[in-house]
Amino acid sequence: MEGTSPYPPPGSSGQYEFSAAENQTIAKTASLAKVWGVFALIIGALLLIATGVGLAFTVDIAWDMGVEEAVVTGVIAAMLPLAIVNLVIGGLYIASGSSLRKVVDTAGNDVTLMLNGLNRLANAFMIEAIVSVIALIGGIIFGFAYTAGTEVPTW
Amino acid sequence: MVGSKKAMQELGAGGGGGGAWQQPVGEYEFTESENRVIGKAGLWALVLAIVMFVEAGAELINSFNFLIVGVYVTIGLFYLLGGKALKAVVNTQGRDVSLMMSALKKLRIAFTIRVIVTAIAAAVLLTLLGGVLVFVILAV
Repeated sequence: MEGTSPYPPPGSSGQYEFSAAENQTIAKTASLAKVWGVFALIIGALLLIATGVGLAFTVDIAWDMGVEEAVVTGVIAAMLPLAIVNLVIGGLYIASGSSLRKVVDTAGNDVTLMLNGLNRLANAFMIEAIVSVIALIGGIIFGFAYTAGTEVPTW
Repeated sequence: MVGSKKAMQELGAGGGGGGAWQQPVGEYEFTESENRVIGKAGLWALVLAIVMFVEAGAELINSFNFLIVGVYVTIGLFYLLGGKALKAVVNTQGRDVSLMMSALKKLRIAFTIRVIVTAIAAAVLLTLLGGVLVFVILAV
């Protein structure tokens, strides 16, 4: 094989088989991605339940906390997108972990499966980053609005 | 062609040169289309890292809670290192697989920290809720 590359030319979809040591790294990452995915799903489910319970008792919560009902509704309603995002991200992390695990368990398709896993991870990172920025901006705006609305005049 | 890895390796080892699967010597070089996916993962890992640093800054200004700030910064740091390694896979040649493994290790550490921190937070929350429940039951 001297003088020829063991790999297919650039642009073709040649497959590479990861070694045992590389498979170990991939397997560990796959497991952790799945575990984090399950955690995100649980967080999402709990947020969803908390949103439902919160919205059902908005009046009581507002009365107990001594704030307007609209404020309580706003805070509770803000948990809904976070719940949905956690559920979506959880699904993506689990799917990514499954793809990475398949890299270890199968032969002949390692690069394709690895890229599937990375693509799902990229989507999870993207959604998380965008939602975090929106939540951060929303939190700042809500904080300012709430402080301005409840400020006690000193005159 | 997808099959059991063990079976394929046995085929390759016992085939006397005629095996269906052969491990090439040296490091695999990802193709342009493969690099696009890897680059996308690297980019968003870097963006997520920056977002975590911003969140750490916001938490510092808001509550001076150095524990939460430390957690955000540490997780962000490993996303940053993972993202940089993935970008290096795209931008360099000759070490693609090593860099990919390095990226996976960094991302794995970030996931591990998130899992541990979430588990601790959940345990603390459940303990507090349990305490409140016991208090309410005893009071009634």
